[in-house]
Amino acid sequence: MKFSLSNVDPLITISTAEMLKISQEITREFAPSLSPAQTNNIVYTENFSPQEMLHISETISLDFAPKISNNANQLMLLPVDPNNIYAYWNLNKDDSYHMAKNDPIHQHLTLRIYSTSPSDTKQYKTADWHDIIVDNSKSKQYIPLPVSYQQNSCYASLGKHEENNNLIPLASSDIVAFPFGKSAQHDEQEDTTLLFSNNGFVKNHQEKVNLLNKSSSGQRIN
Amino acid sequence: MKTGFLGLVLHAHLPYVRHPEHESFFEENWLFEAITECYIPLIGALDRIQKDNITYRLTLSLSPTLITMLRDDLLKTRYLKYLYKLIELAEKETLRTQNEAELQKLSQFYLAFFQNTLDVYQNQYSGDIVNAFKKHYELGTLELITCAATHGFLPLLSISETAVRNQINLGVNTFKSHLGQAPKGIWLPECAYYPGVEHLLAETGLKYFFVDSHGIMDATQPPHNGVYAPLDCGNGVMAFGRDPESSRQVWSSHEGYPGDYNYREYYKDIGFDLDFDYIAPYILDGEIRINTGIKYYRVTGKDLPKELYNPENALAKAHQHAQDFISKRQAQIESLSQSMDRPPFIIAPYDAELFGHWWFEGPHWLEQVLRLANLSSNSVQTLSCSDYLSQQTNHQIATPSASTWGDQGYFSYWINETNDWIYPFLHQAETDMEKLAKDLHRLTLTPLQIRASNQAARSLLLAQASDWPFIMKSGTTTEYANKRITDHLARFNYLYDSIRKNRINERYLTALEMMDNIFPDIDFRDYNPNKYHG
Repeated sequence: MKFSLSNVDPLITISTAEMLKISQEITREFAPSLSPAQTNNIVYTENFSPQEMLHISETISLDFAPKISNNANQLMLLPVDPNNIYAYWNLNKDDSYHMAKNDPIHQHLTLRIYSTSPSDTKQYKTADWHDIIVDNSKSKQYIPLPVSYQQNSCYASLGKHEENNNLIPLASSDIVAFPFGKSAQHDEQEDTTLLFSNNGFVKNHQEKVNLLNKSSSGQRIN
Repeated sequence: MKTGFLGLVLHAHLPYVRHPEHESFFEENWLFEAITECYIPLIGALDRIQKDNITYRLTLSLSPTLITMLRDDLLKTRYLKYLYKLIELAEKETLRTQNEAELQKLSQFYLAFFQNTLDVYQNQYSGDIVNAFKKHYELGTLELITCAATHGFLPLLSISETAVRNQINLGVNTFKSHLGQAPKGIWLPECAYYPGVEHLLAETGLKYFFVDSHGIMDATQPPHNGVYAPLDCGNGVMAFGRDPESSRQVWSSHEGYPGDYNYREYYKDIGFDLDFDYIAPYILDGEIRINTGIKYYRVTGKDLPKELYNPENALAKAHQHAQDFISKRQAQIESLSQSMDRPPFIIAPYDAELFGHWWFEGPHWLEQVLRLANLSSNSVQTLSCSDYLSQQTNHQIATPSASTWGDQGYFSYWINETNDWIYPFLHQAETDMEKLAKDLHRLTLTPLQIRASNQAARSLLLAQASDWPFIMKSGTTTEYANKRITDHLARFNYLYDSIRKNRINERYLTALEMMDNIFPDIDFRDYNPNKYHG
């Protein structure tokens, strides 16, 4: 594309791509400032190209990828639905080492789950509990709740099971409340969420159906 | 005579998708598609109704991430570029189809649609969609409500009360700073409620929220009026329950309106149908076929060759469906009124992005529903929850059951084998953030340390979005969801480490502030749990 400028001779040639780049750069650098209510009073004196920002982002993601520190023993319970909870745990290096030494193949631990009510404290160990054998190397497990758990809350201890039914706890959880449910119509309940896909965001159920009917290009076949 | 109420609720939310570190980024199209197909058509409907002096009430939740994106200069600029490209494609289509009269009529329809979108966006509202909604909010016809800061899935964050409190408080504060007043209600992300969250809602002055039907039906006391009257959670905060019938009529894959054969077929797009060389400039990186938004066919019917879309027929059908919807609500109200001690209040909540994007005629249907409800000849009156609460007193006290509006009704879509790996990391980052805020309490900090601590809080919040585990489970753009959550956690770890070692690289910090520029007024000290417990 060529522009004839009244006070510039000869003609200056600017490609569309260059113009776009200039336009974007001007927008980036000189976009109207936000209203006072939206500013965070930081005046940026540094400029970044997208490539520089990307480099910083990638460097940080490489060097500081999330990892679990295992300095202290930890057991967490999370509610899933009225019939299941999810447990994850993290044992410190010493306890994990002893586990592997004593039971190198299975590394089994016992998760003792106590039924309780949300107002109870852990000082009062309820008689209503049950044990689940878990594999320490997996550090997580979904746990079906017994039908007898009427109180909608539980807590757990993770440890070594002894012959006299005692548990030597390595970690204990806080109390977790799980949903009390009988009315959700699991089979009939419509999934009423939208999901994000390469086809934009679409109704969840519909996308599942259509994913089955798509060619590799993403186009529906039928 | 009006004997019952209809509460139409739209939840508008998109995850924070803004990538200045790339010249262009595909997932930003989620926002651009929603502006074009959902938000601007909705604004158009509200403007027409206002012009015709129709009395109505509609509730719309605007998530803080969406508000921030809609007001972001970079995204506004990129949206205009996207829209100009669409107009260019539509213009080309009018030439390509000049020998096919019906197709050309449709291509002209799309050209006019996109040109109108540009006019509304640029000329009528100066690129400020939030302001367009605010106009109707201030008129009192549109009730705007808030949502949690980054759409965090609160039941699975609730092992830390501070995490949930910050999600809620920042949601309220973002709303206030953009809309000038405090919200009365909140849409809990994924409609996910757990007993106890009402106390945190009350702290911020919120008066009400919504739960799915089973949240009300399985409450601590049997609800006297089913889901057709709210429950007082015991602290004055009200829980309104979703009506399953009105939900099914719109959402159901089997009987829902959007599946009507006259409506536009979502899955038949010229981005996939046309010759590659022709469409290449308008698809992803010129290489990967994507939806363009130009779709020439109607649903037609199962296993039948697709027939051309006819906008007039589709709009007539939307009108017919609106009449059907209102008449069914009338029948419901007449039936319910006989057994209730107060006028029934039918709550019909939907994702806002359903209307216009997936169901192209949805905004027109909604407009017709609001117009029909205004007629004195029927018993239905649209109402907002705050209107209802100002009219009705003496509510039943009970605590709803933990619930969501997702698949199976509980939490399993957000915690399962595909996504459970995120929770130990999210919980650890939250614990670290709280410890940092406690340790820095009463210390004199440099401006750089304060900036780094605030940015750490932003990274944590962005990692907490419910969208990432949701996408992982749905199996669609899982690579992107995985990357987003690990990037935000890495950014948090980096900042945490920098602050602890007092080795903050200002250039890196500035780059992170530019990339994740949400919540400008955040204060990391709010993560000190002792702030709230003495």
